[in-house]
Amino acid sequence: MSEASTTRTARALDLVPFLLENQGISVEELADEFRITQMQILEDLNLLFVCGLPGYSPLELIDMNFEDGYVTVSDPQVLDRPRKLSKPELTTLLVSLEVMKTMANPDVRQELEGLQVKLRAVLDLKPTIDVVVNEPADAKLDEILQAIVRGCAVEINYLSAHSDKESWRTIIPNRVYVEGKHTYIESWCITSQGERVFRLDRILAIRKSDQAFSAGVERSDHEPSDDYLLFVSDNARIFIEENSAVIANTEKISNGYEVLVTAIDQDWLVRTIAGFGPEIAVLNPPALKAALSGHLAAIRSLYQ
Amino acid sequence: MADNKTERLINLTLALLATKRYLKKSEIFRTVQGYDGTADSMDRMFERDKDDLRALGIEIQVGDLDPFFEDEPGYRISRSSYSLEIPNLSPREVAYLSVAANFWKDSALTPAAQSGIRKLKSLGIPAAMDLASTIEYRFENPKAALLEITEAIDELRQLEFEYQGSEVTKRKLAPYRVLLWNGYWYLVGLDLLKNEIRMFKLSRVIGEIRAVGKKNAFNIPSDFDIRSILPSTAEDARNLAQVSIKKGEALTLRSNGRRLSEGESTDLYEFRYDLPSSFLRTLVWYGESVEIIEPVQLRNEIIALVSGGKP
Repeated sequence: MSEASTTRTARALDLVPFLLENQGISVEELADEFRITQMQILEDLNLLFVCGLPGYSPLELIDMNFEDGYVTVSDPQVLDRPRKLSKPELTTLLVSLEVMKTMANPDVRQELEGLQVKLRAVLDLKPTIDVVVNEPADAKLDEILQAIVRGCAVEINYLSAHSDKESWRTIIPNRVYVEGKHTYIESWCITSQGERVFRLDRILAIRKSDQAFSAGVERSDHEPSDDYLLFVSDNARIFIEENSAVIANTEKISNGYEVLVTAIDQDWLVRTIAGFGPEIAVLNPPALKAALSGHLAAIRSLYQ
Repeated sequence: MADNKTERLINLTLALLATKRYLKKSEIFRTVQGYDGTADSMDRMFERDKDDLRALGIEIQVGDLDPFFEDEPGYRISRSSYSLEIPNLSPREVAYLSVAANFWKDSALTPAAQSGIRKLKSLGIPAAMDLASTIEYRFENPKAALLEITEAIDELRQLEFEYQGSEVTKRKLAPYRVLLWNGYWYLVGLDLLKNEIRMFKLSRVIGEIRAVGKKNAFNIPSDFDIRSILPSTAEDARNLAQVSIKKGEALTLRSNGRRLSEGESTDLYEFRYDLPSSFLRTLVWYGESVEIIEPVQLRNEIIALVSGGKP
């Protein structure tokens, strides 16, 4: 399929100023950067090679060399500056910065806001995308991020979701991610000698650890976990939307979905689906079904 | 041929950028490579080329050459409207933008983010390498139409689509904002059939979202604040419930409520909530650790729920 000439024109116009700042880049890297094939890049370069200013003598053409697989530009003619950002480009960068602001500390937040002001001056653009999180930045997050940079351990007082108990643990945080409403910290938990994920809002307190650790901590693989097959009705669609991280497969059937849940603690799953009543039913395994009945019966007994 | 056309578009851009005065059409046809054929066909070619360049965001200025002797307009592209100028962009800011551009993994926003950051990198400002460890964001994958929706908002054009609520319905909307709320994408606007501000989950839109009708078809209130239409947060939820919690249990739940009194084996807490169904799901999660005391209706609902009834 041949691409639209406007797409190609835009890319060619952007190639020249990019090359000026990246003299000697290989065709391979260039293809990677522009997310097209090396063949396409070579075609673009060959095209630019014959373009230039009226007159089209050697002195008026864009002059570049790429014979040895590395690209240099010796005369860009008038294409020495990048083009103005387009509306989609500006929109996308602004919303990314908006997302970064949600988790940033006040200093960084201010820097990001200043950057947004500079970008908005490029083009007149209405606000089109808003970003809202219900669990905004938290001072504890900064301590975690610093621990990651320094590669050191911290002690956290953690309220466990599974056991609903609090305890002090020593962890080496590896990575922070935001998913849905919450912020999670992937860590090596020294206390339980395993990889654990902690939710930021469940960390009640944090303090520096004096525990030294060796860089070569042995990592165990995740324990194999069972697969659970559920029927989820159309009305309980929110279960699928909120738990996509543990859903391996979803299949639409009449008036609902067959959902395969995996890599999750059975007790957590029981507690989570119990509140949906008949809108979610266990298809397999029987053990999950029994645990669910038990959970419901325990609540029933409270009210009798 | 597509290639001839691309070559002509590039040459036209260069010629119009290089000129300080306006170029007449006849000059363009004579000097810019790629224009040939009859006068009519060159005219049609040139009109299409101008449209194509404008679609790329390249602004072509049209001006009179000399009002006394010529009636033919002239054309040029001004350097300042063509090129990206961001004064005082610091290496740290370039580094932030590189992080920002890499958010979108492989999604509808990736191409725009990548081409945007390439232009910024072409400004020749090095990126600072000392940014603190960064956070990964895991969003719902944005729908392909996301940027078209933002374009419709920018141009004030109405949107039409089919939406999966409790049943599938046709919607017509004056779009106000796209919203990324707790990792999920929504479309917010004035529902033109119901004449109310409504919020739609983008993943529940079925098929295409079509921009219909003219530009500037409506106004977005300048004081529109997305937070005013979001479901209320815990602090200002309308409903109140009293729940008894066993000693030392449901610690997470406790942190979201207010303790009213302490008993022998249980404590009494007060909670605010919005949607009964969602509050019930939370309480059921804690099993026999919690018991609803009032309101009676909620108590009856949980009994029905755990007895196999509807939530």
